[in-house]
Amino acid sequence: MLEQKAQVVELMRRQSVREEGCPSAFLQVDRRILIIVWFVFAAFTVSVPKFAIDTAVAFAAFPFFVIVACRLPILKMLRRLLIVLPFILLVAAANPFIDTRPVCEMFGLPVNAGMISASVIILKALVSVAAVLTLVELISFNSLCESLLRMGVPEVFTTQLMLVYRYGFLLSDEAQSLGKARELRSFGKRGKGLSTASKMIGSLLVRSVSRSERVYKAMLARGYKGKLIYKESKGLGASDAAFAVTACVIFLMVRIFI
Amino acid sequence: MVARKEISCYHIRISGEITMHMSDALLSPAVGGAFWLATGGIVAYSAKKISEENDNSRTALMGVAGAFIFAAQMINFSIPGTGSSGHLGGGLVLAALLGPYRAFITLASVLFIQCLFFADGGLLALGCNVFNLAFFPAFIAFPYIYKMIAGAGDSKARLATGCTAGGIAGLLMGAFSVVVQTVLSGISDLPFTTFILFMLPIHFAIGIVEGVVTFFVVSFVMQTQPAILSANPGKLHPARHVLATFAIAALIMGGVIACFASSSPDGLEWSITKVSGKEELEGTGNKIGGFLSSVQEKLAFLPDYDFRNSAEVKGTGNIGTSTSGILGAFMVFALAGASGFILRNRWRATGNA
Repeated sequence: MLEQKAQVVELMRRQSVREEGCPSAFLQVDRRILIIVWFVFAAFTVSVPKFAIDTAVAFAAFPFFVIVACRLPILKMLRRLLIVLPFILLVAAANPFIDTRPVCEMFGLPVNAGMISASVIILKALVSVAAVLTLVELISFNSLCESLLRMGVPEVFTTQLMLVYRYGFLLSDEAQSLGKARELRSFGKRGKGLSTASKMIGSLLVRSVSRSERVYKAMLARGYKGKLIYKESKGLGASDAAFAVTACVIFLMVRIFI
Repeated sequence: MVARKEISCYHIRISGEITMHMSDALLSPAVGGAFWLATGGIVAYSAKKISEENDNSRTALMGVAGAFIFAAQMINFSIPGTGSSGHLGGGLVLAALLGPYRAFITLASVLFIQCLFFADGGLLALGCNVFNLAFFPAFIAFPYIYKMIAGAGDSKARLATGCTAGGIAGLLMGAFSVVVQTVLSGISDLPFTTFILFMLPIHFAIGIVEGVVTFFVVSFVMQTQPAILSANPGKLHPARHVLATFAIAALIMGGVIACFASSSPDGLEWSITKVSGKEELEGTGNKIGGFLSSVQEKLAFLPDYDFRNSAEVKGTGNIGTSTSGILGAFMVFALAGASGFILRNRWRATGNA
């Protein structure tokens, strides 16, 4: 679990260095429109009926399209998708036992309604998370926050997002070295108890607070007066609107006809 | 031995971290949308309160505190008597450090980043997740349980009780909310009582651990640097605060009840389905009307799929159509892949970046 988390943090770190996502025509579209289209897609995915396995498969086409068109690393993304599965499997696993109305036979085995709804749940979970992952691959976190601000999200929240993202790596490094130091000094289970761990967390907290004071001084020294300053960006154009409308019409068509 | 340890880590990961996270796949659009609106409202309200405070120095503190929650979750501890390990959730610690509004915004930002990078849940489920994991600890457990019991934190026993009670209450309310959201959405077939009997004991146990760790952390900070916690203004305007909380809660309850009312098919439709084996009585033979109503039925954002299925299960001719539907779906999938491939080569050829 910790390794997985460390991997994700590492990935975030790489992402933060990168200026902008993969080069593709998607990035000529205004980021706000991208965020809205992705959100509409999430709403459509959620609206797929409980037993409509075909519609769920058809909606998987969108993240697949983005991955192929933008040359996103498909294997890496599949690995991250698998992290999602445990809880979804747990909840979906109940359906085949509760909803036992028989539907059809496949390869000589009886298929019941619960099995179909369980596979739809799993498919939808994978599709919606794959969509989020493609969005993150396309847009850098800073421009995501900037677009959110321009969409009317309170500045308190967007500034907060940028700060958490920025300092997440630093403090994770500190936490990891605290953890490593404990590993080196402890044998078996010693030092892994609640009280030691809590003291470690407490001292991490104290250090974080004093770090935040230094951060604030640094921000002041660079002219911070309660607002982060973003560079000017152009407004929405006709091509942005065309992109949004096309995407939504395609989602709607797939939802109706498949 | 190693394998066993792996499994137990996995177990706590499932129960502690993931169980509390809603997923898009378990939500209906109505429930997801209602909680998005509720959460958005609370974010806007808290942001307004914070900017009224006009205290820029705490902006940096909030940011670093959010990063601290990430980091603290990397320090795991073994849970006594179980052989598994867990980590801090941190809602109550944040609230004690920052006060309810700032703690809420901070937790919401952490959940937002988790949603994007840790593949937690999905975009629509984010509203539910922020509500379950940030609203309850920051606005209910902290001011009405922790503060009431622990007071200024002078007495160790009261502080310990406050932390534990607050930790348990926050997790139980969150878990209860997850169950309500799942059952209202009707995507999972788990019945309310089974699900709640599964969720509440687990989260009661996790809540005890969370409370104890919170107590240790808070008392450690009180010993080493008491000024950190006393700088927190706590509640701003008690009476207005209570009113606002109740107003928000009422709003959400109203929304949820409305969803519930609309998502459970009414008795008449049910009986029609049962009697005739069809969803609606054949009124119009009109083809266009039939097409429109089938479109409308497919687009219905409220889950009335249950009884559509019951009609489907009874009918025998439907399996053929659903097979062709699946074929069509795979064709869409292949088409998307092919057009993506063509576009990718064209974008490279034109050097479009």
